[in-house]
Amino acid sequence: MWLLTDSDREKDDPDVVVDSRPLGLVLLSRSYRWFAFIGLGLLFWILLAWPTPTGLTVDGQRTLAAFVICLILWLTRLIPLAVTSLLAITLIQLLGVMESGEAFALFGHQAVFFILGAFILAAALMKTGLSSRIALFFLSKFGGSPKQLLLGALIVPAFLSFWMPEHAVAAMLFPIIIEIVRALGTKPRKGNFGHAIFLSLAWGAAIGGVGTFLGGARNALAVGILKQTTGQFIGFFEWMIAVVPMVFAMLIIAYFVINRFFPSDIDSVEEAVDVLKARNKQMGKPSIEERMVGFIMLLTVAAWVFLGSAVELASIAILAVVALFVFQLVKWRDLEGYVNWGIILMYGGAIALGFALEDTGAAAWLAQVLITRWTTSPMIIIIVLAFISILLTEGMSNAAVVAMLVPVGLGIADTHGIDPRVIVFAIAVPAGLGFAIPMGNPPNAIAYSSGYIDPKRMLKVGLLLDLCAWVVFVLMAKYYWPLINIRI
Amino acid sequence: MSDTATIRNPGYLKLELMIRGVKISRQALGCAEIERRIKLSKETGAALELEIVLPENVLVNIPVLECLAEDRPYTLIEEGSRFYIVGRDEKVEVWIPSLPEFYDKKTTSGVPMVEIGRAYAGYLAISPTPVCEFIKQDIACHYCDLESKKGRAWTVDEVVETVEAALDEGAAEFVCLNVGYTDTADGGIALLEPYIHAIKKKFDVLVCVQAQPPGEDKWIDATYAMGVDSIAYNIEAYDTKLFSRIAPGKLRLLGRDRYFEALRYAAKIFPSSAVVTNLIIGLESIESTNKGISNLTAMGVIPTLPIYRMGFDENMDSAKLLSDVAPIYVHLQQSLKRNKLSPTWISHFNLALNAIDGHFFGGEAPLQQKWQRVLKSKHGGRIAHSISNFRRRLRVRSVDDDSTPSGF
Ligand code: SF4
Repeated sequence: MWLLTDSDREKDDPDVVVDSRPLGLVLLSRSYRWFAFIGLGLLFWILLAWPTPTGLTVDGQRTLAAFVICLILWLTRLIPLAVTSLLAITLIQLLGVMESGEAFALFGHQAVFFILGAFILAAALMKTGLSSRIALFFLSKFGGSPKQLLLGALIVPAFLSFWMPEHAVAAMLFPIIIEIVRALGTKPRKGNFGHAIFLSLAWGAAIGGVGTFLGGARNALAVGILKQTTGQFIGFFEWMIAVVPMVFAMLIIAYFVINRFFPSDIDSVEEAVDVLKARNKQMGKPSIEERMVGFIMLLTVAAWVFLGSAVELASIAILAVVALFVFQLVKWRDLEGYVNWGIILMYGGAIALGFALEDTGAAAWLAQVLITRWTTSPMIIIIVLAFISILLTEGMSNAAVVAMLVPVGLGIADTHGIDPRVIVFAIAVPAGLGFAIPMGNPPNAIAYSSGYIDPKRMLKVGLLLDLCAWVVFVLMAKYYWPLINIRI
Repeated sequence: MSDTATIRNPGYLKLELMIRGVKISRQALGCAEIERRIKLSKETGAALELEIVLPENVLVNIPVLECLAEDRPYTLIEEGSRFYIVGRDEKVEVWIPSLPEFYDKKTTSGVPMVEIGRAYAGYLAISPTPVCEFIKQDIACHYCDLESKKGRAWTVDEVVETVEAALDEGAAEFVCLNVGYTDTADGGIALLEPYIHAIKKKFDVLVCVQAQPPGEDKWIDATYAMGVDSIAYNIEAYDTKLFSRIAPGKLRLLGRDRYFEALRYAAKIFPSSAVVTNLIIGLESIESTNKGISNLTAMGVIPTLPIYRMGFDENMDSAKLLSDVAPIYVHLQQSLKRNKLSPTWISHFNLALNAIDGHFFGGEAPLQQKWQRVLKSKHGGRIAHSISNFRRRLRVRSVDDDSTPSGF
């Protein structure tokens, strides 16, 4: 009876915390939500009852009221992001801005289905173990020295984030990196190497995530809003051509920054290599399922690149998903845990709200009031938008930043004759580049949960990297994009 | 101190009885209550205790079978259906509470309830599962009483039925669950979770747990969140060497420091005065024990001070013994006062002398005595339970209140 049974073994991590602040503060923080909801209700009423400003239609004013409320909810997270999006879609049809059929139909936008397909493909990669195999294969090529291992920990997640959501990449690599640091005997928050390798993981995944539509689904969301509101489109390949050079530049900068601020304090990584080898060995030969999933993934990416202008990206994604089921490579139940249904709902609502803002002229009015009143220079507008986007993404959801800024940005593009695609890049790309705060990015949060990262050091070095990302983005926009025919 | 003075002072008398035991006189042995305890102890191997209420409501428990030995300086006698403790030339009236009725009951599955739970004038002690990694690895604590018990874990239903029976007859005001150590991040508390949930769901009762510190602090949060109102991680000895001798498993698998870390953290998570640890008196020097008391109370932890009875020299002069040990209780009482801790919880643990008893040795009579009486009343217990629940509702929150990671 002294032996532990399986059910006695490791339990799931607890999902609760106890707030140990003084009781008065706790009471206040618990009840503030109600005051906040009452305040929001009042604000909504005031925004609706306010005399309609010149240049804004009544529908525009109503949409703007809904937008402000959703914006506050997205920022404060008084309710989950997805529920705020559902509220957005309900508000715009209750206020008579859109017919209910029209509003809810926007949930069926192709960007939503593209994201759904991408999530399912990533789930198949993870479920079959193919993604871990690829990660281990590449990581084990970087075992020559501590610096090389750090480079591997930066490049491998970046590469994988081209093909899978960045948070999934970070979550998948997390246990491998934990094993590596344990094998090397580094202790949480002590010394540099543990710090550096987890930051490499987080920042590598985040940087890679801006490179395609797959890494950061917000990219697809931004393009979805673009297509819904202007009819213009950015293809899978076109996006990569425009953004991948920036990914390379940021990887190089991140590598130097990490080595500069966290110089390695270990001499050898032999134990880490042993861990990687043992893990590799454990995986055995690739299974049929892995090979098949790999093949379908390659075909899908090829189709996105070469057929993207003729066939909807979402249709290609969905066909790939169907193929996974035709060949019985995954089961529906396996996928349910991997797919973030909340985010899909969120995107549907964000697209609807973005469309309403554009359609009613509210976006253009807002852009005029907030930005173009102060400057009309397209370059300055792009610089400011990129800055706001990086700043906001440190404090709020990447997707919320996109949902909030893209409609406004498109309004500016409309009134100032800027290529709307540039606006999409200027918002969606920086929105994935929050390096300074653990909650600024899902990979940051995952790496931070290791306990190896000191938030103060992360903030200091991350802010520097934020700044670099902003500068690199501006340089790209000014000097590189004109070469590939994207003009501001 | 003279024998007369000792017997008249309930605190001293409690200490004396705990150390030296008491003999049950022949005619007292005929008393139905005592007879029943002895019979049940022998039949079930349940090692029941003789519970004696001394003047001023001071409780003392002594293993009943030990009271059959002849060579005890005190005797429990019965005269005209009243009980007395008799010393060398003085006697004092005491009361013997009747044995809980649920001891004679069985669960629906047929297990005698006395094997599952034991009531100690205030609380019901239950060890739902005999799992312990220390025992498995042969590094059990030296005083472990689970070691000899082999058997299955009680089902949640069996435990709930026992709690219900004990509460229904008023045999206990709160439930104390014990669990051994498991080599998992939760340290064993997860094994108790279903029992705690079931008890909390069904009854308005406070729950105390004696466990080993979990590997990660987040499990201390989880312990509070699952409904535990008071937690005990027992360090047993403050002296490092002694700790390693009497608790080899605790040292090897957790380390002494982890106990202090966990106690310090728990004191921030649990309500004030609800974090407890055993510090056995008689094993280490008084200076060491006093240092332990000072440090623990400064951390917000309340030490309970059971006496290591085997460690005492049987022939030791009573006066010397009392003069050595008594000041520790006074020191405890003063330390609690200095750190604004209230020994309400530990007052129930009448197996140990506690701070409330401290005033018998020259300390002040604390307000807690009155408060303890309020808590022990039916309405008082309910109020305490409601306050405890309210605090938990306020303080506990889910880590994924918003299930969407920020950066999507
Ligand atoms: S922790 Fe010690 S006392 Fe408790 S069951 Fe294990 S060995 Fe026995």
